Amino acid sequence: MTAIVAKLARSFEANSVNLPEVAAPRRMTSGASDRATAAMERYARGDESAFASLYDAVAPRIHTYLVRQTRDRATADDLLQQTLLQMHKKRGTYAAGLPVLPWAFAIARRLYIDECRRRKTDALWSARDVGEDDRLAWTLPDDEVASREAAQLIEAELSRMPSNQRVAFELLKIDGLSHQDAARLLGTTVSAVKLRAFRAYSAIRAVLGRPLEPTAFGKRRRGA
Amino acid sequence: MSHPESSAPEVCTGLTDAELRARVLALTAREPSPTRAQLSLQHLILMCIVMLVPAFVFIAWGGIRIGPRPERLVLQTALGSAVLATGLGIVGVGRGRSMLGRPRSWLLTQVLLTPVLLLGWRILTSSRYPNMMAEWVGRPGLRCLLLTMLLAAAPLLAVLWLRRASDPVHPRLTAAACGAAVGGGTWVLVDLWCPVAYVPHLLLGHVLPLLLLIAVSATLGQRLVAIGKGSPTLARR
Repeated sequence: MTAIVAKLARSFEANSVNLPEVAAPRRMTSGASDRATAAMERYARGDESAFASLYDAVAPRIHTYLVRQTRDRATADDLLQQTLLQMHKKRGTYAAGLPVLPWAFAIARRLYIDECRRRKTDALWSARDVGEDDRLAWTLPDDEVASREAAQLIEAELSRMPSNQRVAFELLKIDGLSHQDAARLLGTTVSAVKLRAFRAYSAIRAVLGRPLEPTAFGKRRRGA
Repeated sequence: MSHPESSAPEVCTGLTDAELRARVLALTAREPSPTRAQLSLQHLILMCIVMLVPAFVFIAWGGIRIGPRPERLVLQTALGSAVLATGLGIVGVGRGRSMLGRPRSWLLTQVLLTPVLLLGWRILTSSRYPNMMAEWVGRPGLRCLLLTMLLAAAPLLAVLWLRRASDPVHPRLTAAACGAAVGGGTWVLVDLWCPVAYVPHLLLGHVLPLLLLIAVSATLGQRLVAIGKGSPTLARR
C-alpha cells in the first residue's frame, strides 16, 4: 500500500500542473486483459490447465487491490483465494469474449465488503504502524522522505474522504480500470464515477498543494 | 459462507506468492466445477422440467378461456403481451455483454416498465372493443392473483437457482428483474385465461401479483444471487 501511494505521491509532486496525465496509472493493459480472457475461455471449455494461466493473469492485480483495501497480507491472501475459487466455480457461466478482469475485481470487492461487514469493525483495517515509518525517516534521503510524507498525506486524505470517492479514485488511478468497467463494478454510471474520482483527485491535490508544516503534518499523521 | 460438505479452504497466513498460487491451484483441482457445456445442458434440462409445472397448473386451471371476448381480442392481447414479456424478459434474465450483468439503469427500467407496459397493453386492446372493460360482479381478481403465483413459483425459483451466487454488483436488482421477467411470462398465460379487463380487477389480480413476485425475488436475491453470502466455496475464518 505504502509503495503504491508513494508512487502516486511522486507522480503528484513531479508535475503539479498536469496532474491527471502525470498520475495516470499503469492502465489495465490489453495484453493482461487479453491473456485473462483467453485463459478463461479455455478454462470454461474444460481445459483444466488453463486455470494456472488465468491465475497468473488475474491474481497479481487482484492481490494488489486486496492488499490495498485490507492492509493485511493474510486477509488479502484469503480473499484472493476465495475470489479465484468463485471464478473457478462459475467458469461454466463465462460467455466467450467477455472481459474477465472487471468481473474478478467485482468479486474481490464483494468479498471484501462481506468481510468488512462480518468483522463489524474498521479498527483492524485502518491500523497503521507509523512508528516504523518515523524511524526510517531519519535514515532515508530527503526526496524519499518527502515522497513518504506526501504518500502519507495522500493516504490520510484517502482515508478521510467518502468511501465512494476513494474507491472510484483507486479503481481508476491505481488499478487502472476504465471508466466503464469501474462504473459497472460499482453499479453506477460512468458520469458518477468520473465525478467521484474528480472530487477525490481535487481533494488530494488540495492537500498536496498546502505547505508541509512539520507540526501540522505530525498532528495529521497521528490523527490518521 | 461455508459449506459443510465442501472442503472449505482454510485461512491463508504467511504464504509466499508461489505457495499461495500452489494452494489455489490445488484447491480448484480438488473441487471440480462444471464446464460451460455441462452447465448449459444442466440448465436446459432443469428449465424443461420446471416449465412442466406451470403448463400443468394452467391446464388444470382451465387453460385458454375465450369467454365473452372476441377471438381477435384474445389474439391481440396475448401476442402483444408475449412480445412485451419476451423483450423485457431478455433484458431481465440475460446478462448482456458483461460478466457483471446489465447496468443498474437497465434493470431498474425493466422492473418498472414490465407491469406498466403489460397493463397498458391490456387496457389499450380491451378498450377498443365494446363492453370489454366493464365490471364483473364477483370477480375482484383473487383467483387471477392465486393463478399467477402458482404459475410463477416454480419458474421463479428455478431462475434464481440458475443465477445463484453469480452477481457481485447488484444482486437484489438482478433478482428483482428476474422476478419481473417471470411475472411477465406468467401474465401472458393469465391473459389467455382471464376475460376480465376491468381496471380494479387488473390491478388486484394481475399487477399486484407481479409486484409481489418482484418483491419476493428481490428479497431472495440478496441471499441467493449475491456472491459471497451463501456461496458454496468460501472459507469461514
